[in-house]
Amino acid sequence: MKRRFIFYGKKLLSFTASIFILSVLVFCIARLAPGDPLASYYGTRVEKMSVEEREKAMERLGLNEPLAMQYGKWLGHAVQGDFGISYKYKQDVMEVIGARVGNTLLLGGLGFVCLFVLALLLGFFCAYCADCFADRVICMLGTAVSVIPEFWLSLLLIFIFSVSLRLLPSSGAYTLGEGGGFSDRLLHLILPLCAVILGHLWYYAYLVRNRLLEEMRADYVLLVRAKGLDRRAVLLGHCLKNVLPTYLGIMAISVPHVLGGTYIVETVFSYPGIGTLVYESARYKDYNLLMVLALLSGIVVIFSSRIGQAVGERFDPRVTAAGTGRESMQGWGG
Amino acid sequence: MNGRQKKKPWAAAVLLALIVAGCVCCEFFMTKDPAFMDLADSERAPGGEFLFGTDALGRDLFSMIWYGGRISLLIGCVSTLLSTAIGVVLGALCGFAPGWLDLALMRFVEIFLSVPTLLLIVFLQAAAGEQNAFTIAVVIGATGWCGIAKVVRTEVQRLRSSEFVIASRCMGGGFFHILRRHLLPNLLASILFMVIMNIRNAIAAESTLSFLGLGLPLEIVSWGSMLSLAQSAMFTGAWWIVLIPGAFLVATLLCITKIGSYVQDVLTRKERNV
Amino acid sequence: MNERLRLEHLTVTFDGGARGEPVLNDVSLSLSDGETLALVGESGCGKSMLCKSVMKLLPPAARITSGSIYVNGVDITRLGEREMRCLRGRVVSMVFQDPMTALNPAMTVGAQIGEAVRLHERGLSKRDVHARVCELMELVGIADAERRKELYPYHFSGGMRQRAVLAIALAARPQILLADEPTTALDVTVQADMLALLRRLQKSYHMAILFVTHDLRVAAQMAKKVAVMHAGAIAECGSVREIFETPWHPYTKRLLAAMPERLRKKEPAAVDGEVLLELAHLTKQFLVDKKTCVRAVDDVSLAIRKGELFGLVGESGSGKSTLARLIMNVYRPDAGDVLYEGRLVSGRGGTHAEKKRLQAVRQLIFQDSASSLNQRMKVKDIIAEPMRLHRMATKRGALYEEAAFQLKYVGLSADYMERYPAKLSGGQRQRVAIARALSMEPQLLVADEPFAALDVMTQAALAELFMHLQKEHGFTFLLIAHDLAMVRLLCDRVGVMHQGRLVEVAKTKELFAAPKHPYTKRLLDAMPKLW
Repeated sequence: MKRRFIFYGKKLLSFTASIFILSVLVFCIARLAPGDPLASYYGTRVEKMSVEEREKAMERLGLNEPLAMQYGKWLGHAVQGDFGISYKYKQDVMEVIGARVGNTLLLGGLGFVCLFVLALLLGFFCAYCADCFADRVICMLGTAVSVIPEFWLSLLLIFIFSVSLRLLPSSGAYTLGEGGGFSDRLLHLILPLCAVILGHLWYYAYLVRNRLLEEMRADYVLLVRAKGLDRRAVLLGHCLKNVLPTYLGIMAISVPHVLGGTYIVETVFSYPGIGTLVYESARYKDYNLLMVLALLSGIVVIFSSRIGQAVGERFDPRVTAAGTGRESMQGWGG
Repeated sequence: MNGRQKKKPWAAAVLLALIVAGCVCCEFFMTKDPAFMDLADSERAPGGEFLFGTDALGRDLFSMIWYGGRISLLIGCVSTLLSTAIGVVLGALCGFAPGWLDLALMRFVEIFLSVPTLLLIVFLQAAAGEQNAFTIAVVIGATGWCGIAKVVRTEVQRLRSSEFVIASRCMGGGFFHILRRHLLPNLLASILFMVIMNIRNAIAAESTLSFLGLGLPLEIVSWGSMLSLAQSAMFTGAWWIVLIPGAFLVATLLCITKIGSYVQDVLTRKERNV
Repeated sequence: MNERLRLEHLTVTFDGGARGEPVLNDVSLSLSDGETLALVGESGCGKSMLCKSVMKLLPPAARITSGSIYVNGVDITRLGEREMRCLRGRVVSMVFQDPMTALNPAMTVGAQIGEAVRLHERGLSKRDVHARVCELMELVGIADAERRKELYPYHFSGGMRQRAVLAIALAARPQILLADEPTTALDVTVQADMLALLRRLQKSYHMAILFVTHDLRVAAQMAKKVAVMHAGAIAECGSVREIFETPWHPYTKRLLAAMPERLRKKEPAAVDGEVLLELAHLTKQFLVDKKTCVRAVDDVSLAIRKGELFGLVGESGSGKSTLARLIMNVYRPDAGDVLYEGRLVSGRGGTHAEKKRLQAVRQLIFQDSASSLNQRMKVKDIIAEPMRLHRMATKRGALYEEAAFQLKYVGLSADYMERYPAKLSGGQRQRVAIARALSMEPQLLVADEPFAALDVMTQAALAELFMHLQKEHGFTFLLIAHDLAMVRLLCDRVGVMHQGRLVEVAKTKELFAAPKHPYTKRLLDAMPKLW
């Protein structure tokens, strides 16, 4: 019990340490960026301020102090949930984000789950009938689709399904003025979701396919087949089982990719989520907002990568065994 | 990765060579000045005077494609050079460093990677201030080195304890001898694929950024900045503004990918001695 | 006697390309109940292909082009995959060469055996499967099955894994067992146990065993009938006595002549020169994890004299390679000293020039020549590397001319200069490694298992090369090997290592005639005897 406590304590500690360093990093970049930091607190009022007023304001906000002190103050406020005011929205940063985070979670989360289920299925299918006609066609198509940048893919989808066929809405999360019923939201979700999934699908499906085929060439497969198992059972019972932990790990590492992709897709579809917010805050140099967004994304990513590691260790007995040996063991013995 | 050897990607190589050659020597066959705007000629359909039509500002797309491709390809190459340099140096440092330093550096990379690349680029871009082709290349390069650094690190650690390096040490080979004669040739082979893919990613990143209005401004012609007019053009039915630059962009990316995966296939085959 | 397996004019070819040569060429043989047929041949002669074609588990590019395989009178070349699956495991089973890779690393051993059990006896309850798994594990000599079946393969030693593989093969009580080099990757003592186990199991199960090996001595121990295979065809087939005493095929004759026991021995040199290398209480530990620590080399003291051929034998994990690397200053000892020509060389001191000179006069040859040669360097550059490093004045003109000379000296023509190591055979690579070491004209040559993973004839050729070179150069030679016969052939004195300790050192004749330490005795007993 105590050991487990220490184990989780350690994980938590390293997690917080990572977040802390991340926040320092983000804070420094934001503060070193050109542009008037006062503007992020007072907005356009800054332009009307006299020099003395400016001085006073700077002092009050502590902007004259060294960077470390500033960071300390910022952190003090941040711990209480106060991240300052968004320059563009003239609102508390957390409020601005809070209003939109749900939409991104819906799109990103749904995209993530669909993406990895589909990639696994597609990869398995391709590995099962490797080198047959269907596999080759899928491989060719997949490579072509996977190199298309997300924004152009989104444009194509809009062009085909909204502009030409007039089947689906081209922007937003719901029709304005209608409050957004379930079916309406779903309708608006289809195209962005497709863009997110299509943009990443083949990369992961191809990975699954190749890992499975590589596993099929391993020596132990010969023994398994000598037992009398058929190809499907070998793939399902042995290869897939061995590939899954790696796959879960890759899923965790891929969070920033998928998240970044979601951000781009959101902007193209003018979907009111974190992505459009990132894009706007970057264009209008709204550093307070941008900083919190970067921090938030970072926390999500670090968290998921830690989860991925833990899952990998849980499922694959080799990870723990291999982790201990290190290189000094090599070349030991005859 | 298939059992059989991949065919040489001739089609991709020829197409890529054509595009690159066209972009490099665009002066010789451009029909118009790519920067010349004439609102009277805005959004003309392809054909006749304007081979690929004109954009919303009345610029000739045909000339812009080749002229802008030059900037896009240049950004791809420059930022890859930068990211490769950073990646190799940092990766090698991790590989040779004692355990604690290696751990610290890897943690740093992990944190660096934890911010989505787009966000990081946006951030750095905002910090860099003025936007031109060079700053874009630097920003993309400064964010794309993590993959190479990781590969170089594992490779250096593997090679460092490999028998032929020990053999060289037994012969009295010093650090720099081993680095030059044993590590570098083996490293180059293992990161070649990633370097090629980095060019691809950098070109894609440039176009994405410019499309979002965070990269190159409209006046500097590149594939990305041409596409930044696409979204509004789509609703007026000017399909050529969306499809033609996009097709060139995707064709280039696809060709680079094909060549990259062929290179990887050849190298892994060599490694396995078949 | 029931005939279980018969091959008739079996020919297997690889599809595509210039490799039109069949891997199996017109092979015919037969095997009956309770009989063991040993199939002997060098690597690449098609032994494994033969086993795989009986299982019909050939790689996709290989095809049976003609001939037939009768299992219990049924020609299986005509059977489809579905019918073959019913035969696999139930009628024909197979044990593979490398136990380290033959088991699924991510499944417990018990689950893997259980899978085989369930596959062939459907409808068994969980308890029954469990009981049957334990029974099988005990049958193949894995004690404490209840606990061990929950372990993963990486917990098992090589011998244990091979037993587990055998348990899987026996799960459905097959009538035919194909054993593809089942003991090659194992230590001598483990091999002896394994062979005894196989013989015992055959008696109780009355199986027909096709025992594939590259070692004639092992074949003679296991079988009454031996088939010698060469280049995809059966060269000669007969009783053990016929093969060993009256071989008629030239290949068989060459194979027999290459056995270390039959090679001409080196006349023992007088071992009274001055001491060249001295090890004093040498100890090296490795941290396995934060708590446990393994003493790979434990308090080893040893003196080797100038011009001596010293052999060091021991099983895998006994610390031989670590000792070699300690001698070469690759590792720093945790305790104890290495003295060379009476000077301490293992410490931190010493000038750069002195260290460099010491590296030049001591040379190391590795076990695995494939990984000790840089894959991306040409042979000529590999050989020239040490000369470049030490800026040696070459005797024979340019650097590459010297390299060509060294290459010729070890028996390779100058054509190989421009090739990459991947394009050479194992024996040729080992020759390149020797040429590289010899180009420095070393005083001390340490060879760490130079014969491992090589064919018998290549081993013999290398052994003769070593003897010849030692006579010419007069270097001191430390040979590390697990093959007792080879050490007996080459060395003046022998040291035996066991679990990091040097348990016995004696003159070769004395050691083999009257071993003192119990471990040495066990090792000598386990050594496969020449028929």
